[in-house]
Amino acid sequence: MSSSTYQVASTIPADAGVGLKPQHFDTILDSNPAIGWFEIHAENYMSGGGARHQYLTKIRDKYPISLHGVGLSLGSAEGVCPKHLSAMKKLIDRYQPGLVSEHLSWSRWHSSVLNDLLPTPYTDESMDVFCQNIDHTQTVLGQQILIENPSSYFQLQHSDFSEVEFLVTLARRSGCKILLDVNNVYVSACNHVFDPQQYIKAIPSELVAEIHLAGHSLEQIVSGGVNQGQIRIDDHGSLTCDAVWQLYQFTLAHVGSKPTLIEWDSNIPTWQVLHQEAMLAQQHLDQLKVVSDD
Amino acid sequence: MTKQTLAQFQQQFTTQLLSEQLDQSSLEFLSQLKQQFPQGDALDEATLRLNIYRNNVIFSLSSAIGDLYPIVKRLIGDECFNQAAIDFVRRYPPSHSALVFYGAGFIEFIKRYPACVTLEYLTDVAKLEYYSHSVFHETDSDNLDPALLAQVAPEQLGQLVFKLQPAVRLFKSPWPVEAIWQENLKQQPQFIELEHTSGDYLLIYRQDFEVQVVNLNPHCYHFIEQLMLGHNISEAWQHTVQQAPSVNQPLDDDELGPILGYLLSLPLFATFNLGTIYNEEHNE
Repeated sequence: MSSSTYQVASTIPADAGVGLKPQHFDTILDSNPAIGWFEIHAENYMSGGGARHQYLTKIRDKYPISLHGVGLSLGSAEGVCPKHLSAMKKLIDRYQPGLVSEHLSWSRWHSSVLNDLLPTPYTDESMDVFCQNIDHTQTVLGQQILIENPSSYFQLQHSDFSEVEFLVTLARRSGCKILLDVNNVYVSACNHVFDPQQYIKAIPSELVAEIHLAGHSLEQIVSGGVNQGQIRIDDHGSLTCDAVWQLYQFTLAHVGSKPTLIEWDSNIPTWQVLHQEAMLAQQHLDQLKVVSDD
Repeated sequence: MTKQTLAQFQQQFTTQLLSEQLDQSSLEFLSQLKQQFPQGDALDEATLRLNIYRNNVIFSLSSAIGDLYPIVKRLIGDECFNQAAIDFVRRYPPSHSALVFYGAGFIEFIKRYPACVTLEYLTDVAKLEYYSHSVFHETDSDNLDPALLAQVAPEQLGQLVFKLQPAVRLFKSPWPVEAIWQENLKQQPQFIELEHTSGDYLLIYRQDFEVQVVNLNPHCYHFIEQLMLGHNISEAWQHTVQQAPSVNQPLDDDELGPILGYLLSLPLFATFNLGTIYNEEHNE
């Protein structure tokens, strides 16, 4: 399968796409919906075969695909797992994704995989680790990757950089691009009280290659019977909220029109709801195109 | 306090995420977290923030175990299952980020899990669920072309050695596992007799990307088991005949044709070769 050629080119257009879910496979293949592209979580397709690959092959024949990893653990002090990297490479060869992305996080210590996007200290040492791991990954995969800003629930005392300084420096040093998750910026900005617009403005537009949008939830933090405040949890289980849509418009004005993904990973909605959400993003992108055409 | 190395930080964080509860050893880690609610207690706040990650990790991994073993979950109840899955995850976290490869160890774990040791059939139900999952995701392979088989000279048929599809599993159980599994897929399962059953001889395979579970006749099971081990048709049949008295079912040589015909009608085989003959030539 490594030499497959698909009817549709790999390039991800500056249009709206959605995360591909098995619940929607049949609807997509039956109705050929108008949508720019799909994104898959690499780890969900690392098995050898079966129905998932069968569906993905058919969908890839009609739409460009972006490959989004959640388990490479680029922030791991011990380096990236060669087995995982080669599984990524195999998927790239097979499905020829237009973009390949991962996270500014880590998830593995020795032989324990924690299946979460864990925060990292923003120190000089972490910078060196990320740079080495990204350099190795880009070399093995034979292509540039995108790194996504995380959402987080705590901050560490010892940091040499702010998160956005770290991200931009990393992109410049390692030659990777940035996947700007606007929902994550908003969640972290609320959780750690910073200005989300300042964060976005600090990222040079030419470094941004993709945008993510998603829903999040709100949890009350109660300690000793007293409500201490609230924390936003990035659970990808609801509609994108108004504040994030506004921040998205602000982002588009700053970085220009970029491929934009609606992520929805828990409480998966019907295809119609997901598609409608993507069409909202598409409207914003189209408006930008009209303005720039003028 | 000396600044930790990244490796130290990640090791400590991992320990905090997988430990059953936070204790004195957690204090050093918690002290690294910034206080952001100035009116509250710094340690309480740090604990609450860390707990978001602890819950996420344990919930996502134990949910993966729940998705893999829905019938075991139904048989022992949500509460017992969730606790078993959490205990399993803390002790045996995955070693690969693709969770499709995670959870085989739960079969042995549940066998020794104190709350479940009296349910002797549970391990075999878990095995059936895991095999179904692995067959569903197994590597694709082309099916044997029957036209090629028709070209083999009749006197050479006994020497045929088959290579099976990757998506095939076999296992036998003293319990009526298939009935337990099938019944519990229904909304309202019926009572299943556990005593006086002769056990199951299960074949799990994939047809048109869907998992099929068949309870084979014991002779048919022994025969395909031998083929899977790489024996040629003659050897496999000889072994099956020898095994026949142990299952208290007579076996006639005439039955080879129907058994082989039945197995060849299923998508179980990838290729074949004239194994023994080839080996003899090769050895000369």
